Amino acid sequence: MSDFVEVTDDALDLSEISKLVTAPTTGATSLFVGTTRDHFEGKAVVHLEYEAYKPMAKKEMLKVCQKIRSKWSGIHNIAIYHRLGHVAVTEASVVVAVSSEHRKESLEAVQFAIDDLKANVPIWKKEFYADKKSQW
Amino acid sequence: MASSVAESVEIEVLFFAKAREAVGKSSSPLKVARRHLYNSGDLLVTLENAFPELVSLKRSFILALNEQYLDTSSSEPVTLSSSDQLAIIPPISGG
Repeated sequence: MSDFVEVTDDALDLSEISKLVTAPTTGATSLFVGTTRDHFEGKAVVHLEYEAYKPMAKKEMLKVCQKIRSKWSGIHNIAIYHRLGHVAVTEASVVVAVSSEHRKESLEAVQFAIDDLKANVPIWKKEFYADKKSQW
Repeated sequence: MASSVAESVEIEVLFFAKAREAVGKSSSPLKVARRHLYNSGDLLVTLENAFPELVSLKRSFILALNEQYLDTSSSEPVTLSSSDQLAIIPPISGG
């Protein structure tokens, strides 16, 4: 039973992250992928840039994993990966993968994980708009 | 109880996102008096005095000391030690 947390400048490889959590004993692997959207509050977005307080972000991501394990039994592996730097529209900024023996736990845990990450992990995005302006 | 007026500690202040852009750097050393600082008031005032550009953020940030969030609603005093890392955390927007 492992927690894999990472903040990286590299593009996120969904297949690799999914394989990381899947195990012979798990029948379910649930994934959430957050991708850059092309609009925000009526403005056209061209790309996002992410910044993190890296060591604290990883600590908080591990806390997310701990919370998951205390709320659901039967969770096998958890992976939370967040990309930093430039993330273009349709590209993945965050991937959460959870494996469990049966599907209920991993589906629920993935939803919890992304909600909790957004509430607690010190990562920031800056939006870059088509009109050349930007905003944190 | 005697308190040493001259005693101070050097901490590192980390700036992120909007705070980093306002101040113009991602980190800075800061000398503070080695005493209890109430995080709901004193600490913020100390930071705003040391880095006046922070005032424009109108305290829309929280603090983390050594990678742990500080509870700014708590009136518990915070003691700073040499080499502590105090991070300015504007509203987070990851995920």
